[in-house]
Amino acid sequence: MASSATKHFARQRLTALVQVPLTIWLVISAISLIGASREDMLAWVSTWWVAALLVAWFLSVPLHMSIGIGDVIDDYLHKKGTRSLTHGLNSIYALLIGIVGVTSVIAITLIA
Amino acid sequence: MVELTLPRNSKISGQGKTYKSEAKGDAKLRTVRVYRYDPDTGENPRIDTYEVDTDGISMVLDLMIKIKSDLDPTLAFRRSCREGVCGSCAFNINGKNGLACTTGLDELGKGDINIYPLPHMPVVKDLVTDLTKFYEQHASIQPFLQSDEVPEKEHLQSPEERELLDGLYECILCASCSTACPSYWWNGNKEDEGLQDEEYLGPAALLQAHRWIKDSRDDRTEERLAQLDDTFKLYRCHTIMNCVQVCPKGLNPAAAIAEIKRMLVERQGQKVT
Repeated sequence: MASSATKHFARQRLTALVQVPLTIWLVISAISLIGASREDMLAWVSTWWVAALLVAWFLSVPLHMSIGIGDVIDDYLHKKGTRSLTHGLNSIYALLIGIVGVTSVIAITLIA
Repeated sequence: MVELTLPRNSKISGQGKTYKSEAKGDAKLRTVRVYRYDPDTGENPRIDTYEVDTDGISMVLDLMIKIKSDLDPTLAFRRSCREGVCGSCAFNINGKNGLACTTGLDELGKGDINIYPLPHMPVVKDLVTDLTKFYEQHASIQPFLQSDEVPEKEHLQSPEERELLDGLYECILCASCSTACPSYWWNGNKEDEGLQDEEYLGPAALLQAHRWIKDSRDDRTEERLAQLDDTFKLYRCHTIMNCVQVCPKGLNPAAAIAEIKRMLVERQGQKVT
């Protein structure tokens, strides 16, 4: 039976790979939007392809973050109970960030 | 929780002894500070200081043998071949793991020389560490040929297939790499916690695992990969690369581990498709 360890590893590398172009794009966009008005910002976020890329970013970042923090938990927390609990809290935290990010983008797109 | 500090009885405390050289005149004196621990006394470890005339001495092991012969016969350390083949004399020398027999005094600069046991290993006495767990981990990867064929004479291998084992088979199991790895420090030995099934095998065992995975004569590749497909056995390696930096044979366990991970990802892909 295939273990989840390799899936976990592959997912970590894949999300890291996805984030390289997305984060470069986001940083360049943020710099180019310095001084923009609120309306300009809303218009930018609500552009369909910008919204799609932002959603992709808000999905990949929390997933990558939770995998990374999960590795730290596996490294340093040895007691199984404490480890499982911390893994659970880590997943909830990442899920919340993802939900807040994605719903914000959708909300802005619908409002603008 | 991982043990981030030394247990109380492992902390270096107390006054170490100082041994002065009797050499006079233009002697090439060097100060050598050595970790000492005697389980029979019940005392914490200490650092003893030896002033040694290094005239005619080029290697750290020669220096240690001189200390034992001329200054302090109670100093305990392992050594055998004195030419980088047996892997017995691996210590932490001036903060870096390596073989005393292949480390030249000229490589250590001009200051004091500090010699400690291999890091994060149970100390039997002075510089002698307990490598039982390390050897168990090596044995767990089944480091021997397992072939379905029974050849008449021998298992044949082409020069190209044999070449794939270069950089893998040369390991002398000195434990320099594994004991330099922080992941191995935290997860290499969980016997006290009863979590033996959640131990990281360490760079040395994984390098050997890769050596047998790559061997064209071996028929247990799938079983070997399946055994390593584990969060703790393999994936505690975070490519810190200390193993590569310290290997006295110039091997690259990190690359071997990366290759095992790559093979596991491919194997996973094949299972999905």
